Order: sequence, then structure tokens, then C-alpha cells
Amino acid sequence: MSKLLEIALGIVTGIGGFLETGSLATSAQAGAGFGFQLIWAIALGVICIAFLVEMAGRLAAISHHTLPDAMRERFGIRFFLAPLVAVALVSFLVLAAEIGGVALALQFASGVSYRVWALPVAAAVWLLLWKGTLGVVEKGASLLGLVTIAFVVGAVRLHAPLADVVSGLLPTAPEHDPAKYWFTAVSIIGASVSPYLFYFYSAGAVEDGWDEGYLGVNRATAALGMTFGGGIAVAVLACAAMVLHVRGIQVDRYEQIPLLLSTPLGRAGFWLFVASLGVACFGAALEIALQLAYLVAQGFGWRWGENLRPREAARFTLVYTLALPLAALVSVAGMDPLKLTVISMALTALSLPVTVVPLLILMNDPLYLGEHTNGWISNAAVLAVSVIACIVALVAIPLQIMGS
Amino acid sequence: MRRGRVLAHRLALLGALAAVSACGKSPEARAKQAATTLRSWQATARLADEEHARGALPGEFASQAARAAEQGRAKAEQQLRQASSP
Repeated sequence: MSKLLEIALGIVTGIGGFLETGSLATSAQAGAGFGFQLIWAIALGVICIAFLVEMAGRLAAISHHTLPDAMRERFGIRFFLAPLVAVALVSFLVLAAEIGGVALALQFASGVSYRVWALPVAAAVWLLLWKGTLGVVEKGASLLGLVTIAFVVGAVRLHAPLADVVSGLLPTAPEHDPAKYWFTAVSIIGASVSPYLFYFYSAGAVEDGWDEGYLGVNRATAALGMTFGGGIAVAVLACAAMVLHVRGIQVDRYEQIPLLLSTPLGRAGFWLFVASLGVACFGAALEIALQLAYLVAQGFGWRWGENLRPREAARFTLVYTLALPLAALVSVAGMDPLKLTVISMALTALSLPVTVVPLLILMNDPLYLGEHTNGWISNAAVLAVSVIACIVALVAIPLQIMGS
Repeated sequence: MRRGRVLAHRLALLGALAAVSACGKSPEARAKQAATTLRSWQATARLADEEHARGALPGEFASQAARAAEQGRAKAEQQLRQASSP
């Protein structure tokens, strides 16, 4: 019974935690620009992240190692610095984007500029990390994140055609603006396959004391949680296709995105959008700040743990204490939140091989996994998506920058 | 041996930069993109007005959306002028 409860909670966490500023903005841009044509990119990202989350959980349950810990031990500190820097850099950018997302939600509600809200938002995230426990961060934020189901309600109210949704699962060539099409596709994959998701998951599994008995819970959580979470991203895309694409509106600023829910759901839809953006980004900011601290502390072998008092893991606490105000400064400086979000997602896709390949090597090492090493399907799926996303990002990022 | 490898890397980098530069947009393509963006902002302003009129958007947000649409429209018009000028 308790395992079923764990699975249910894991799925709810997956649904509530999936949507954040990256998947929201990129899905909205995809739907507005290309109708239902880019659903395949969400599907590809979901498959990849489901495999990665499952692997990170399996590694934690069998070897009781977190990812950075195992990487440093297996490859040595000099090699480990490459994924450490790559993950830390993209995580920092994504953290800045999430803080910008919460600040924008507050701007939409109050009329006060997001630049004013950025530092108070960072302070609120810091306070919750300082005072809270892992359970509060992990489960609390994700449960509140269930408000994002409003997008599914919106898509249903808009009568999004199921046939178009299904046909969008098959990759097709763009009818116009190929550079933007591929850039949006890699941004969607980057938003879905954010390294913070599986790094955070592995640290959480070790901190929660997972063992071999959790393998079933882990598999179900990864597969169902990520699939349902991806379903919400598809709903965002469908709303954008039905509201914006048909009117020839492309998403160039966040101010256009609340129309996705106000059109089908009226005034309640507007407030549900504000709540979705605020809560989803706040939850993601909590997780990313914590993941940055986990990454650095585990990588350098410092004492770590969100369930410890700050003074018991001082350097771990120091990492998120420094990262949060620095990330908030990006918004205070006036960087366009949508551009920051989309660029950080594309860079995430670009960095995937650096962050994913060491994990794949670990997952095939019997010294860590015993008889639970990867099968060929998971190896092939994750490697293919990571390498393809990286190559497409290499081509699409410069083209998009030059085009705009 | 090492010098040859450095040269190969530099050539590859130059090739990549040349390929990217060659893909830069022509004035016609830039004008077309600016016109699309302009139409997009005009449609955004219309939709935000309609939504506000039927009470789906609060007044405070409707004015934020209108301001964003105005700024977007002005920027697109400027890009259109730049792309059209010889």
C-alpha cells in the first residue's frame, strides 16, 4: 500500500514539477509559430527525460551514489570538472529564467515591473530552502504545480483536434522559417531534458534512503510522471495553436502568453495562468537552486543535505545562498525574460552530450549497478536524442541569432 | 604534427563561420519577417482588446499587453523601414 502511495505521489510530483518557464515558453512559441507540428519534439524530450530520470533513480537505489559523487569517483576530479561546469552554467541560466518567470507572474498580477520583484523572489526561495526540508521542497512545490492542469482544461474547452495532436507526433519538415523551427525544436528538447531534473532526482533518492526495493517505484514514477507532465506541455502547445496560431500571432514576449488561458476560460483563465507561471517557476527555482548546491557539494565531497541544518552543511548552504541573488540580478539588469528562457533551453540542448554521456558510462558499469546495468534500448534512445539535439542546436543557434 | 592539428581546427572554425555567415538573411527575407512580426503584434493588440472588453483580462494586465504590443509594433516598423531602405 505504501509503495502504491509512493508511486501516486511520484506521478503527482512528475506532473506538477514538469512544467516550468522553459517548457511553458517553448511550447507556447511552438504552438503559436507552427501549430501542432512540433509535438514530436515534446515527445522526444519526454522519452529522453523519462529514461534519464529512471537511470538516476536506479543508480541512487543500487549504488547509493548521487550522480556527481559517482562521476567524480569513476572518472576523477579533472574529468568531472567538464560536466560540473556545463551543468552548473546551464542550471544557473535556467535558475535566472525561473526567477524571471515568478517575477513576471507578479508583474502581471500587480503591474509592478518584474525587475523590482526579482530580488524579493530570490529571497523567498532562499528562505524556504533555509527553513524547509526536502519533503517541503520536492512534494509541496509539485503539489501546488498541479494548477498547471488548467492548460489541459483550456485545450479541451478549445476543442483541440485530436487528429492534429496525433499527427504532430510525427516529425515533419517546416513549411516556413526552418531556422526558427529547428531552434524551437531544440529549445523544447532542452526544456524537457534539463539536467537539473535528473541530478535533483538522484540527490533526492539518496537523501530519502532509496534501496533496491524502490526500483519499481522509480520506474513507474519516471515513466508515468514524465509522460503525464509532457501531456501538460502538449496542452500548452495545443492552446497556443488554437488561440494564437490561427490569428497569426507569434510569441515574442511573455505578455502574449496569458491569452492562451483567458481566451478559453475567461477571467479565471487569466488568474490560473498567473498562478501556473508563478507556482511552476517558484517550484523549479527551489529545485534548481538546491540542485546547484547538491552538484557542487557532492562534486567536491562536502557535507550536504537539505534535511540538515544550514550550519551542519555550511558550504552546501553557501552555494544556493550565493547563486540565488546572482541569478536574480540577471532579471534586475533587465534581460528580456523570454529571450533568456529560450536561449538557456537551447544551450541546455547543446550541453546534453557532456552531461549525459558520463551518466551512460556509469549506467553500464557493473561495479555501480551490479546486474541492473542499462539495456541497449535505453542506451540507444538517450544517446541518439542527446547527440541529435546537440547537432541541431549547433546549427540552429547561430542561424536563429543571425536571423533575429 | 601538432601545428597541423591546430591549422585543421582553425580551418574547420573558419568554414563553420563562413557557412553561418552565408546563411544570413537577405533584405527581402528580413522585410518579410518584420512584416510578419508587425501583423502578429497588431493581432495581439486586437485580441487583448477583445478579451479585456469581454472581461476576460483585468484592466491592469490589458494595459501591460497593450504597451508590449505598441513597443513590438514600433520595433517591427523600424525593422521594416531598415530592410526596405537601400
